[in-house]
Amino acid sequence: MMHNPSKVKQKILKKFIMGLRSCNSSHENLSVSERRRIIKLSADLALASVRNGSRRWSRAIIEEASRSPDNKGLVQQMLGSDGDNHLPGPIPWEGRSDRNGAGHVTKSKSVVAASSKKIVKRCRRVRRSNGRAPRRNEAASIAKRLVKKRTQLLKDFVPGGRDMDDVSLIEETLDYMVWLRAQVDVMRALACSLPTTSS
Amino acid sequence: MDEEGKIEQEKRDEDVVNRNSTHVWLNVPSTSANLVGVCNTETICREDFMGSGTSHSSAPMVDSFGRELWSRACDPPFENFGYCEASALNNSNISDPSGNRRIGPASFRSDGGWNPLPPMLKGGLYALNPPNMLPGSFCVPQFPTDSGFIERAARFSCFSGGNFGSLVNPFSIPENIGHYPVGPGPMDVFLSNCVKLGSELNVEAAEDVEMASKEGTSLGCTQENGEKDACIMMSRDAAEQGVGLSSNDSDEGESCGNRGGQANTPIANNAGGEGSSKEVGLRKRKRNNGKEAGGDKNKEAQGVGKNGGESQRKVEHPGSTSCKGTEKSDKRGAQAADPPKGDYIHIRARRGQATNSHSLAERVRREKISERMKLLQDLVPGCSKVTGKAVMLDEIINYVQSLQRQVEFLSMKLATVNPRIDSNIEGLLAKDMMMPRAGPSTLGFSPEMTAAYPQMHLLPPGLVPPDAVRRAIHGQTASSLPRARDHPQNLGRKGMKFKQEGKKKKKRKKRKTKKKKKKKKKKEGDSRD
Repeated sequence: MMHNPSKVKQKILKKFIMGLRSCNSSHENLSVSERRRIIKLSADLALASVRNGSRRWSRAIIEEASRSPDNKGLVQQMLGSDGDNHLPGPIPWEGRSDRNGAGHVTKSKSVVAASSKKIVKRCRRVRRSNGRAPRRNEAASIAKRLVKKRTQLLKDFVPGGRDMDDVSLIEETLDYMVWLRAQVDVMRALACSLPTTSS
Repeated sequence: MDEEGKIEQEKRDEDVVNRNSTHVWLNVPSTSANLVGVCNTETICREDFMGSGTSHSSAPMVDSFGRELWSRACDPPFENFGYCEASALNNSNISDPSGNRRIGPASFRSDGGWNPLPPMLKGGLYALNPPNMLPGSFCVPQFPTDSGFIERAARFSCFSGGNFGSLVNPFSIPENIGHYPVGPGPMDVFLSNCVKLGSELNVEAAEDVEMASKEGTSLGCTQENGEKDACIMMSRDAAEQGVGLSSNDSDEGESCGNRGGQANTPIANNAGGEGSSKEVGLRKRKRNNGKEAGGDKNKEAQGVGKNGGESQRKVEHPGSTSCKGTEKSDKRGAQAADPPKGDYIHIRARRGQATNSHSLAERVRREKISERMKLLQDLVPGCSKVTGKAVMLDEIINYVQSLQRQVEFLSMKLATVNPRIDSNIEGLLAKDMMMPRAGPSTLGFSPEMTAAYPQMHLLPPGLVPPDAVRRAIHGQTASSLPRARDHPQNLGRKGMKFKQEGKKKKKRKKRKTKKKKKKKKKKEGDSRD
């Protein structure tokens, strides 16, 4: 994953500052909250672009950001020539995004697969629950329910985690956590190094 | 490729091996090849061989090594014993989730587990037919020679491990020249067989050497002369050297191609008396070891019956010579052959478990999930003692949440500081090159002070144009240093504040107050505007 954390952080920082520069030049007089939003966005995009779209969450971040028209300029500036890889389009299940028909197919395939799985599970559950004897193994079922709830929560937190099965969700979380920590370190370093001025 | 051919040969030898377990071949599409199935298959295989409870590793971390062992398991039974030990060792050592492939070979380096093997070999393998050793069957396929080879190996197993280098006996060679007019032939069969095993075994025992020399005198190898030199390097045994030399020419090609012990094809090519095939094997091994002096010493050091370990180590030294590499290449070939077979993982049902494909798939999935949860456990601080999915997930969610909150908090902070960024950016780049590298410890220092250091420590990694950095550094240092000198206390205080803030942020992980504070800051920021 992160073979050289310091180098990775430098990359993130560089991209972050690029983004900040561009947003500073374009949006001069903004409220702090707006600035905060933009800063956060550029930080996320920096992270995602360094991760280079090889992970689902990075692609999801970029896709989300490019959805709103406000951010598109920033996105394009930040990603620059890489934008072709990350611009909204089909998100393949794994690997780089393909913008051809195959990519579309893969995206829809994965989404369809996930949703169809859910449907099947629901059907099974309904069938089972009809006239089933009360379960003896209450503890196990409770545990399962808890786990399910939490995986749902996790899916909300990890960008792009909605349409993933458990195994890949955990992988994504793993990756995301590591890189998120790096992002926090970078931002903290930047924030601490800047002389504090009251705006 | 030769290696693939050898692998096939090895697998053909599976006839010798008994496999009693029920196995269900489950095709599980997976992107991570070998991860799950191999471990299970090889553990089950081991169970069959040993009939004892070798520990399963539920975490299927063994992938390529498992494959290796598996392919090696197809070799003559003698090696299976070795591999059983190897696998037991392997499994026990690789049970931790963070174990990489590297753990596999590392486990074999420990000699502890190998000690039981030689005595077992001694006892078990001496039961094999001694007469089969001798070249009664010259043109026969491997099996008869295998038994002799095994017996040989058994004998070798008695000997302690050590360097072949110590076996050098330059004086013994001239004596043997005349003794072996017989050309290589079935000897090579035995040789190649011996080579595989013998490379790991130690040939130092004098007794064996003497025996070999006695037997060797009965045969003659005319071709051996040229190979003397190689033998000289490694062999302590005169007789053996002579014989080994003879087979060198033919064996060269063989050994490089046949280290895996698939002597069938080259055997056919060789003519000549088998005679002291044992010795030949010995010599050949010694010769080969001599040629691969450096790498072999590694092998030899492993001593008796460390076939599995040998294979593992071989994997670790990919830079070995071709001769040495044959065995390695067999395994490598096996490894290489496996991924291309497809994305499917073949999984075997464990003993006493349902063989339904659904349950197997479920088990695979569960194991994957648990393995990854363990990885997560290492990442999330303070979760080493937590067991159970639900609690782990809870912790993970909390951690991700806190990280995201930190990001928001920091972006808010940056937003308040923002206006200065344009002017300072290059300087910041220079400074902040230091910061991430130095880690949180530098947060305690003032940024101005760190600016003094970049010129010394800064190694432009190519990310930042060096000109900008230099400009920034010089620009900064001139202005910053006096400031630093003038107000060290202030800066220190500032630094401390930052540090404390950082610490506070970490402590706020699970507290909801952070949210409130963030909201407060937002309000403050808004009110300022």
